Amino acid sequence: MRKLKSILGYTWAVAALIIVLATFFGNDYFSRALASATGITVSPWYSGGDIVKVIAHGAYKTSIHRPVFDSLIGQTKKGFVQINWNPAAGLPSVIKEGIDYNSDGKEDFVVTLNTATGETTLSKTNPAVLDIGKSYRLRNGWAVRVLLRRKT
Amino acid sequence: MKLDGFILGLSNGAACIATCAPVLIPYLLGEGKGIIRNCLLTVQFLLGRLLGYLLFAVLAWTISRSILQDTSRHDLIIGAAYVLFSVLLIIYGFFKASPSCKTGCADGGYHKLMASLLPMSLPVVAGFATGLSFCPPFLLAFTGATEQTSLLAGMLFFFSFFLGTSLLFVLAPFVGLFSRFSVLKIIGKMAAGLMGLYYLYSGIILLLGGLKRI
Amino acid sequence: MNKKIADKVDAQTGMGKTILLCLPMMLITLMMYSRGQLPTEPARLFAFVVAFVFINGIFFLMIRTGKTDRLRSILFVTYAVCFIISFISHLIEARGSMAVSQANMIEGLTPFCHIVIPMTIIPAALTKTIIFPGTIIGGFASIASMFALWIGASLALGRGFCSWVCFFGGLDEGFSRIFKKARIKNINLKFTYLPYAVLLVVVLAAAMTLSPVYCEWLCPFKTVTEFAEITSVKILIQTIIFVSLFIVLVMVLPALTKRRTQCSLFCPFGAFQSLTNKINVFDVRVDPDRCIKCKKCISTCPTFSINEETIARGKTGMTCMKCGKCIDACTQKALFYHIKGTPLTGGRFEIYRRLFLYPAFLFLATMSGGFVQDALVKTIKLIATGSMI
Repeated sequence: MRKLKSILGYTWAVAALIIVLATFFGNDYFSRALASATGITVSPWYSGGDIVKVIAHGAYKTSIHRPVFDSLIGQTKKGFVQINWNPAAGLPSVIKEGIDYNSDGKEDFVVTLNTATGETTLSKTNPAVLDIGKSYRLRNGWAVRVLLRRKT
Repeated sequence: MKLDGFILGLSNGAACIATCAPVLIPYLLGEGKGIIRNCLLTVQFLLGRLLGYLLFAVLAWTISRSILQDTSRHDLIIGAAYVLFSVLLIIYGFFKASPSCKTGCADGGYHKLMASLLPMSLPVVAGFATGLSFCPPFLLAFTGATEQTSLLAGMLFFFSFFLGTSLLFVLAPFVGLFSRFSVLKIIGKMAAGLMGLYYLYSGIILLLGGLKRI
Repeated sequence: MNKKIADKVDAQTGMGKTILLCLPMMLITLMMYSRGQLPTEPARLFAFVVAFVFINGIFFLMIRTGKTDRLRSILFVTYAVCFIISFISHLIEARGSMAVSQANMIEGLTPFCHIVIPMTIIPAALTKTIIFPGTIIGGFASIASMFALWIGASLALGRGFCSWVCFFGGLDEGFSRIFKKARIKNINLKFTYLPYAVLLVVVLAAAMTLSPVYCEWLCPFKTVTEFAEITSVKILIQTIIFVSLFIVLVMVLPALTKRRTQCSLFCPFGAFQSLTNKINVFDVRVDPDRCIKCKKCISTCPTFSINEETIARGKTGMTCMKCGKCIDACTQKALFYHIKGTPLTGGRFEIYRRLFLYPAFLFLATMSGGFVQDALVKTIKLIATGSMI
């Protein structure tokens, strides 16, 4: 029994070295395997959530993300919807666009963005729309977050 | 579930259990009438604690509806309460003095008072009495409950606090945590002290908001 | 004095044997650093050669002299300093400042740090999302690649991570070695439980708020890496907190106490990593027959992992980082690296040590190699052009 424990110990110790080698040489493989096996994504509170609609405007496109009300369990009362415009080179100096974020066929709000200064204004028609958050200058475009109240 | 109430309860649960359980567990298990009987006694004890907490939730709601209606006064009073109780919680968490918790437990004056007024041999009553110790975490939970927007929300807040404090109580016999109680008590108290820092920050923000409105 | 020299000579491994034992490390580090192709640019080639010789030189001395801690510490501190030089210069090249904006976070441009890991577990289990503004795959320090590194390091080294892998640990380690003697000797040992309290609170708070609370409010290492743009009073308060914690826990207290105070008295990741010591094959043991109870190991341990109770049990505590300081400090050779399951007597201690050193040093060499080279290149650029960028 003592000898068996000893052999197992030494084996495990040598395995530690193999684990280290595998960790570095196989990092690319293991990280992809880990990501695909778990199906994990970045929290929508950071990434803005999945894109549900893309509207082409010729030189640029508008990407509308899904509304984010994600909580640990259930949903929060307040959230946001993120709108992206890219590429930066194709954007007009002022973007004025009506957005239907919940795909019910009705325009929920109109957002105006000055792509030179980042100034935004919001005109809302849906009572669930609260306010406009900040605008963000991305590497290749702009994004805004519009604050929403969840309908119960 | 109100997560902030649950977290306040959980971060303080270790300290509460470590202080009270070594006295309460022998009391509960000393009957020697079998596992099922003792489990029933434990459930009754916990129900007593829950009843006490829910009664205080109702009290908190009553107070918030009466003297805390005016927003600026509400912010000032709640902010001041948070600041006061959080300072007590920080002292309780990081320094030796732990006045309130002692009085809530079996060897304290509060318990003796309750014992003279109530039949403590009943587990439900023992749970009710020991649950209502006016230690800083409980006082902060009470203050938190006054901030809730409805009676139901307040009761849910206290229910979450109850779950947090009771979770370790239920799990401890199964994972043998009783043998490491002194360590658990230190960690629990420090966690409570850290929660105190969070409530201190919240209290100062509320106070500043209230002062701005005046 | 002659006995000291004799003991030192006895402890040394023969030159031939040392070179033989170092060859595998040299080959592996050559492969890791070159990735199959030696750099052609003169500055990069110079940095490559210097880093390779420096790091393998340290391993050579570890094997030759039989000493671990001081040599490990030289590389570990160098690694931390070079990491900061490399990281900050890259940030300024990419963004123009160390500050990270909300836009950067939306685009997932924040490199993932291992300290976040404990806070991500509950939200990941319940929501299948990582509460960190990084990228899952691709780019520098992506979330999945850092998780893979952490899993490998935990399996191989347990809490040895904190002395052989962590790119921040070298900072408080470096400050702890400034003075020869400790100015503050009596520390209330109940504060060694504070990291567990911090872990409990930040894990629960992160789950509640779905944000990495420790990173936002408490991490002192933001002072030397990246931090949120100060656009509100709340962020200003957060900045004051983490800068203060850095000054106190990483600089001042380690210098005054000669202990790794941030790592042993505050870091929640360290507390979390202590749990992995339970499943790790390597530990540090005490031979009670050799121990003369001089308590030198107790006063030397940078993480308060040894006390009279643990010595009586013949081992170090759960928080042991396997740095080797107590082993080197013991005049009676009563402490040694050990492999679980193997005999505690019989004199195979050098074999145990080498079997530990290979994975531990390899991890350290691989993690540090890139940053040491990059920092050297940046330094050459600074000397030559007046700017690192």
